Amino acid sequence: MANHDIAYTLDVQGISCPANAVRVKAAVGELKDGELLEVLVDEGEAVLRVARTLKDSGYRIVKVEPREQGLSVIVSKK
Amino acid sequence: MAEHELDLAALSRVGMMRQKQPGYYVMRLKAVAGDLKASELACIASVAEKYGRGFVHLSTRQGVEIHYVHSDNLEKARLELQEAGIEMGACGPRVRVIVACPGDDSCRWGNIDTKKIARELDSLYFKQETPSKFKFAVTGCSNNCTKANENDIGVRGAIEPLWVQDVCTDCGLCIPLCPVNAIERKENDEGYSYTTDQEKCINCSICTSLCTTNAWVAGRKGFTLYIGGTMGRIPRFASVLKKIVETEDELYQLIDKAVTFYKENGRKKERFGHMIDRIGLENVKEALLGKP
Repeated sequence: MANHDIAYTLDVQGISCPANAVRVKAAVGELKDGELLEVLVDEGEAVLRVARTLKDSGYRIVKVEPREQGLSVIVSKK
Repeated sequence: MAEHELDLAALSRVGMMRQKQPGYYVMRLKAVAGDLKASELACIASVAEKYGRGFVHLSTRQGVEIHYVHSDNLEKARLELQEAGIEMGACGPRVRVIVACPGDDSCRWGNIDTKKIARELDSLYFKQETPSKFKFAVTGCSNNCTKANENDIGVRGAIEPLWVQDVCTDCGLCIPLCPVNAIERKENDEGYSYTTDQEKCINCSICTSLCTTNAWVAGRKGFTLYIGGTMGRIPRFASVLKKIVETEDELYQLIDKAVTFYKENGRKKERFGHMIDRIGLENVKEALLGKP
């Protein structure tokens, strides 16, 4: 992503719910202020579950974009 | 009491059904919206031990049934249940127990107070005589856990999402979240906007529940009203009478018109939906909603 400085990329594609969301939550927790995490996630139920966990935990979703397969979700701590 | 002396139709009115085993009956209990108190469950358990065979059967419509109660014990069992506040359910050609999901009381997706509506419908219609059996279901959202469209009357919580520009950060999450691809982002002179295609929108609450900045809120809120669903011998999914009924008053008025119309026009043993097919959906809609 050109406009974003990604610190880490986490691929949870193919990982079922809720394990995908648990991994995302753990990874966001490791971020320092101002750092961005890119999450690669499947469409459908998976992105729903990940978004729900991020919202419940109070994290910010910066940008969501479709990829050839699945989605790129860029997340920051707040 | 001897078997032949029992009035089976009268028993079915109070939720008792003859089993295929001579002399034994099923006692169908009423649990509006599937709720029972722990104390009521304790009484049911004790009655099942004492007069049944120590088990209860959970029906597909949130009912609790005590099986294998001998006809000699039906009245004693009924009185014990009644003392604990448990009423009997209904069988036969009448309005059955109203089923509902937990709704907005405890579910993140729930758009309406399903239990309140179920209790209201129960007080208005339970056990009323109808041409054939008549089932109501109330479900909180488009996830449709209580299968609103498989019932003679289905009420489903519905919202029309409204985009709030001020708090939107343009992250784009809502676009892939929408299960029916109804959300579109458009560039315009002021920058951008997000819109929903009302034809596609199923009035669920995914965008409003999951937008992390709450840029999607419930605009219009209300009920989708279904009529004429059944999953019996001749299945028929319900038809939408109105996509968004905005007030409870209007909801109850429309339901009342629908039930009255069925009582007046339904043939004996003809389900509501099959009556609608016979008369024509457009004709029934016009009778209930007025001319478009």
